[in-house]
Amino acid sequence: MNKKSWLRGPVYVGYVGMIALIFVLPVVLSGYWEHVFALIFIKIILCLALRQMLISGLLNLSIVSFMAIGAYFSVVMTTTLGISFWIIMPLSGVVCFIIGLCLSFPVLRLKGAYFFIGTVCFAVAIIIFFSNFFIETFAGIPGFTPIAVPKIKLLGIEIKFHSNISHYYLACIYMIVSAMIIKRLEFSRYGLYWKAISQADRLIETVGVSLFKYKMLNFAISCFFAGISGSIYAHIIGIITPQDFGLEFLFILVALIVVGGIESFWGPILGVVVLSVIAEFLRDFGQYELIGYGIILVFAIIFLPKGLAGLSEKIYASITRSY
Amino acid sequence: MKKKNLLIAFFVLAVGAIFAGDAFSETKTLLIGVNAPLTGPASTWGLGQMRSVEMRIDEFNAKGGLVINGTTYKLKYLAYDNKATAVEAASIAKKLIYDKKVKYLLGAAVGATCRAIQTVTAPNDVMFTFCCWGKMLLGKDVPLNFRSGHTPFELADALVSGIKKIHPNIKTVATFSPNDTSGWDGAKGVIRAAKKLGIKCVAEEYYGRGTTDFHAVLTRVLAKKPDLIDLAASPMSTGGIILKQAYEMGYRGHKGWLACGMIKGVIEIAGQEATEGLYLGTSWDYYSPKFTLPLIGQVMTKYKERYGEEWDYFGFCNYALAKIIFDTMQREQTLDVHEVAKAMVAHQPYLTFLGPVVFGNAEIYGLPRAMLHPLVVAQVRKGKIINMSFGLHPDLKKVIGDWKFPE
Amino acid sequence: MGGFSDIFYMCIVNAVMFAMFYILIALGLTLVYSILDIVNFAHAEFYMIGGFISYILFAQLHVNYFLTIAAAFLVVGAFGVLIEKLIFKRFRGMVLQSFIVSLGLIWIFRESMRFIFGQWPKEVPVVFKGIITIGKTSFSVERLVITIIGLLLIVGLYFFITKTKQGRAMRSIAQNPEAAALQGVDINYISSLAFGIGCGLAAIAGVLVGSVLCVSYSMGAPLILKAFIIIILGGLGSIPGCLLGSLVLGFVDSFGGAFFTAPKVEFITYILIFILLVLRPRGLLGHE
Repeated sequence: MNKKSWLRGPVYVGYVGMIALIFVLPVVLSGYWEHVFALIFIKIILCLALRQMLISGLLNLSIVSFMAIGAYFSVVMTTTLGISFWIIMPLSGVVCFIIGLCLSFPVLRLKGAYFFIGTVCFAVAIIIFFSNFFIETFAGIPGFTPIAVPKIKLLGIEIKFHSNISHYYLACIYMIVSAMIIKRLEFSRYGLYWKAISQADRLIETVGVSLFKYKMLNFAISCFFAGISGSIYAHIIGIITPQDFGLEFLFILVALIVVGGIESFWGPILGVVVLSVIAEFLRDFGQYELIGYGIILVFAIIFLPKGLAGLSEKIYASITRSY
Repeated sequence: MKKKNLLIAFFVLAVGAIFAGDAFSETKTLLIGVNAPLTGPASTWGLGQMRSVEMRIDEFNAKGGLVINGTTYKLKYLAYDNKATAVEAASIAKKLIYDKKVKYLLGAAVGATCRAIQTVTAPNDVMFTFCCWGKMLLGKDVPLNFRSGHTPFELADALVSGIKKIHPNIKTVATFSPNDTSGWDGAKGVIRAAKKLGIKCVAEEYYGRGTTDFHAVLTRVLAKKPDLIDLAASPMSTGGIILKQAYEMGYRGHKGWLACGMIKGVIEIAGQEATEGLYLGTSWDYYSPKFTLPLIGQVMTKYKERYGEEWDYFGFCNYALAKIIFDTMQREQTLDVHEVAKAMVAHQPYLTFLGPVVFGNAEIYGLPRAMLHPLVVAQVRKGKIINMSFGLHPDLKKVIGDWKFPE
Repeated sequence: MGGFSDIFYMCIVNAVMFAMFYILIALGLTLVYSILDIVNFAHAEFYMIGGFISYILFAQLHVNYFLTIAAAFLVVGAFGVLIEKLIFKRFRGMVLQSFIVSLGLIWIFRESMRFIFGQWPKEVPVVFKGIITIGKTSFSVERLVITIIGLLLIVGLYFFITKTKQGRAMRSIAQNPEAAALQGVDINYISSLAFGIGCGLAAIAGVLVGSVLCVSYSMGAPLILKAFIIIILGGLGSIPGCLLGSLVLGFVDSFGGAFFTAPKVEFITYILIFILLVLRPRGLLGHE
């Protein structure tokens, strides 16, 4: 099938419709739900970045630490040094890309469980670093606040990204652009190599393809998105503490993609949206929220082995089959 | 046909009765928000805060709620679990303020979450009470923030100078405190107070919450031979473990605990010998006739009967603060946060089960928003808590003079 | 530096006892990971349940201490078998899914215990009272007993794995499940047994540690990551590797703590493990 053929026709209309829906959604949402969706959009990109490495068979658990690096870099540059957010935000991504590239060199020598623990150790070390070292710069455990509010001058009027709705649009534009890039990457030459890596590591290398380069690129690209996510996240929440980028958050991200479905591109998106919305309704249970979440998670994994994406495929298949 | 008419008439009458009933009694609901860690290790504080609000609301509702300008307000609280993380705290604050339109957030714990909540409450004119430590949580930028429970700025000088008076030979101090906001504040408060009295700090140790093995740290610290070890803001179980392990490693010096929330469990975990002579700044014997009002014993019994557990210090302090707020609303006949805040400070002192209470310490924070009550210093002897003396913060003394606990 | 020679022996004692503390949990974990090929992050929750069994039986009902240990092993072991058959069986070999399901289980176990027992930590009376002082080094009898029991358990488990029929069956599954099945090994039975023993060992750790520290619903949380680091660092499925990994962690913690404050020691520990892994990507005693 020609790569361009899916750009036309019903699929194209579907994408445009979806994007239009996202832009129009705030009409029915209250201030709080705009904030919730802004966070959902950021989590979607984090999960897509995580999944991008997963299709190579690598569970990159240091992604949250790159989010932390991006966030702290961003807040220090914008708040302490006064540089514009719009310059720093993409720069956070670039900084994380470079650091990720350097880190990938030693880390990718590890396989399987060792890669898992190696990246976890790095992640924990980064949290400890931001908690205890250079406290005058990073504020440590009490948290870095206040954080500079992004400003933009449109037609002579200064718009401050202070309200929930401005956060919503900032996050949603970021998500749409990033998601498009990630999807293109997956179906490009790089994506092919990344998928191949998980299938037969050494076999591919016998054909003369140097896989390590592509693994490094994969790693660095997911760090790039993590960095920008961290930057935007910091400016939306208004306070960052090292705990926000710790293992608890990481495990939730992993849970979101597993429940959503690892195999499909839409899996993480479904997982994030569905579980985040459920989590919001679980809040009303007060101190019973956490156990409710645990029960739902266990049942979701047991009854949806291919995730929500797998479930929707099954439903789609059964509908089309009945004709 | 007749039956249908009857049914419609009945329906109309019923609806009319509901609305008419409303017009006569006009019952509305006043929502109080609670944004606290209800799960996880910090839940000891969070649940204490939530239950303080719950108990107070039940009491006021039993007496008919609040009647303000002819309208009866039934009090209802909405508690959400922020799991002691800043993100959740900020999100929940937004939910309570934007979604549920709450104007009073009563009860919160854990410094980083309070800072996060403040970013939402301050620009939206919401009254916020908490027990978290941290100088920036009170002041002119945040005039609607009130704190219940003493912090090192109110405690440290009194406790350390009290200990030094009894044991003038103390020359060195070592602090053990968790590695977070309250931990840092607690340790630095003790060190600051000690420095004023010429006591040198030989070790300022911070540990990650959840640490259970202190032998390595203690090996290094005890080699420096401190005269006094203070546990600053350590949680109950960890402080108990530190005391136990220090004793096992041979430490027999003086011990103080600036802010122990719950001493009973400590004595059981560490053992009698390890806690012998421990000085306490925020834990005392609530049932003893010495330096207490009889009411405090009744309050503790009431909590124990309802929840089957002991109450932590910060929890019952918020309980006292909640009553002051509701009473002020009733007395001033207003629900406006600014008026209530102004009136709270203007009408002090309040006689509570803790003794007389004022809002003060403007010297440190810029505005008098810290709830001050008579500070009871206690000591653990042979596994029992003995109330030794009490002190009044200068701002409290200014208002109540030479007040003493009844004999 | 004169002061360091004073505390040198204390550091060694600390290191060994610290290692023993972790080894009790890591042993069960390495058994489960190598044989069932699943990541059970809720392993430390069985340790916590063991602690509460000690609280109920020993602290409240005054049952004999060693009987309590045996009871904890059997009860939690049986509970582990139940959990394995109900939940983990279908995820054998699926690392990611078993990991996420175990996360859910963590919350369920922890919160359930919190509802039953309340959030305040509970104390278990000291069994082996007394303090031993040798020169400038002093430690409690309790910790010495834990060290001895820990060593006994390591030796016991080693004999079980190498000499008994079930133990050899477990090793065969760890090496090659298909070949083991062809040899007539009942994979389901042996896997459940391994899981049960692993959880039982964790429960024994919970009983032992309960009286040294205290028992609370969140007592498992700080341990599980370090336990995984130990078993992977030491090489999966290797009991001597487990011991070595624990000792490495113990020595870093103990000697690091002699010079640096706790946060710095933590930072050094994790960076050191990272470097160790990069230098030896198959673990210290590398079993593939």
